[in-house]
Amino acid sequence: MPSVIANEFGEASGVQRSALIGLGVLLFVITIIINLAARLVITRSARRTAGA
Amino acid sequence: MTLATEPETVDLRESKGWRRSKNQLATGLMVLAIVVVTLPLGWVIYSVIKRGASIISWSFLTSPIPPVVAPATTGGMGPAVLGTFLITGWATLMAVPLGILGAIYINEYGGRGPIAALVRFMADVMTGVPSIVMGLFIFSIWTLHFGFSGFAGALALACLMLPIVIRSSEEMLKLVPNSLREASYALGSTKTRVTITVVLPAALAGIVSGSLLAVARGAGETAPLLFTILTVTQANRNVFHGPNTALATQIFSNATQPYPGAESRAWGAALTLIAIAFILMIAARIVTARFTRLAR
Repeated sequence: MPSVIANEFGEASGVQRSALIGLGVLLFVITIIINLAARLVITRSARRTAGA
Repeated sequence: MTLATEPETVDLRESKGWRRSKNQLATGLMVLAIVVVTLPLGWVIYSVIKRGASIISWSFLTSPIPPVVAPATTGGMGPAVLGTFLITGWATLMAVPLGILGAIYINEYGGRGPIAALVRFMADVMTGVPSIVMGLFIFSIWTLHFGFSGFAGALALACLMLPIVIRSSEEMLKLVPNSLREASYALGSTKTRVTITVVLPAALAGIVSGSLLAVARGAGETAPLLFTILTVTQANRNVFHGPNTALATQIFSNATQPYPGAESRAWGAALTLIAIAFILMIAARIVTARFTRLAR
């Protein structure tokens, strides 16, 4: 996805530009989901070690 | 009378057995892991030096960028070197003070409060954001309204550097022993005074090296600059107006050209960029060493 954005953005305008920015938003959402999942794993393991 | 008998000498060393060979096996695996980790780095440096060293000279670093069809012996990367320094410099000016202030807030003032937790979480999320998304963000809020400029690129780089500065400075502030703070409070200092005269100097070396790591990372970023500075070939000293250029984006645009001259200039630019990052790392080490010596 980043490479598509990088390659096509230079000659994009109008709808295609909006689509590429939308692709960027999707990429952003994916990274946030992964981040939240990682945070969940960390808090869970931290709670387990604190409880033990 | 058997009381005075000599204690039997026991050989404590392991006999040649499974445990010894297990030890050797683990040592071998660790050496292998070191090689696996360092090999790619060495390979990258080797290939960049091999292809870039022949073109590097003082005139390469200062002369203007020729058309892509020009042979490798003409022209250089002067505007790109200038642009990299200007853009990274502005990004550093914006990101490093803000990041250090943020880290001080999180660690000294915020504590376990909700605002500090929010800032910490946001910094975590920002670290994970792909650099190209930062480029798109600055493109849509800045470039669309004010046009391409080096400052837009600096904004995008600052967004990338900020979370790194915050997290590394926070770790360094955490390492400052609490007894130092308590001793200072006991002498009657206010919280501001404790932070400025005791905590910050104690953590300064780590904060400086963390910030320089962030700067080196920012200098090498390509994706956020693509849509914000519109890589041109002319030098542009004015950061706030007009398209600009940088080493990283010049590597991208030159390496995709079919002309051998442009390709070798891209290798030269890559070597220049690595050299800049390397010099920054060494500077960080020297600064760290000096400050830790002063602090003692």
